[in-house]
Amino acid sequence: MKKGVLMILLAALIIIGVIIWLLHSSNEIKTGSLVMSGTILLVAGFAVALAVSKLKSAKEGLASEDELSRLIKDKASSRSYYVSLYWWLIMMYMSDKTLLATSTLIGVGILGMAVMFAGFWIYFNFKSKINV
Amino acid sequence: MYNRMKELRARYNLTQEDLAKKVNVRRETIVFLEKNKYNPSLKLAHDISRVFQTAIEEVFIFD
Repeated sequence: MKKGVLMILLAALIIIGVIIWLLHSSNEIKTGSLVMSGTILLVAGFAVALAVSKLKSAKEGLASEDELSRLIKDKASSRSYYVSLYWWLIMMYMSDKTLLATSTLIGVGILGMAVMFAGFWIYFNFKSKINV
Repeated sequence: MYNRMKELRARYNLTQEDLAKKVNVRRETIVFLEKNKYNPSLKLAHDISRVFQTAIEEVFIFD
């Protein structure tokens, strides 16, 4: 229950931060910023959806986390970590080949990891056989 | 491995939610188990077989 509330608070902070960032950025908003903020909002939305399902389970008297949800989380974490090693290699290559600022590349790298985790979580949760 | 959970659940007139509450897991876990998409831990298999008042090997069957 506490975890779910914390997740919603964190996601709300991120969403508010992105909105403030967009409102206070220069007059013309670049496509890159829009794509990045859209992705951040998607990841935050994913976190909110997860938290709401946890709270709903807790309200119905069901467990909000169990061995399967932990297994899915662990599998998604390990797979996204493994893939993100290659993702960071790409970022390093990009830092040499493009004129993008290092801070932007680090932001894209971190965001990429979050997107990968969400993607793998959805994959393991809906598509795959887990340990059969 | 496959299981007879759906059949036993119907026999005991339990919904997926009832069974989930009894063994302290999420309803989704029961769905995964009944579709044979997930092999449970020994503890969960034991808890489920206790709900159905039968031996583990009569609920979870190895091919």
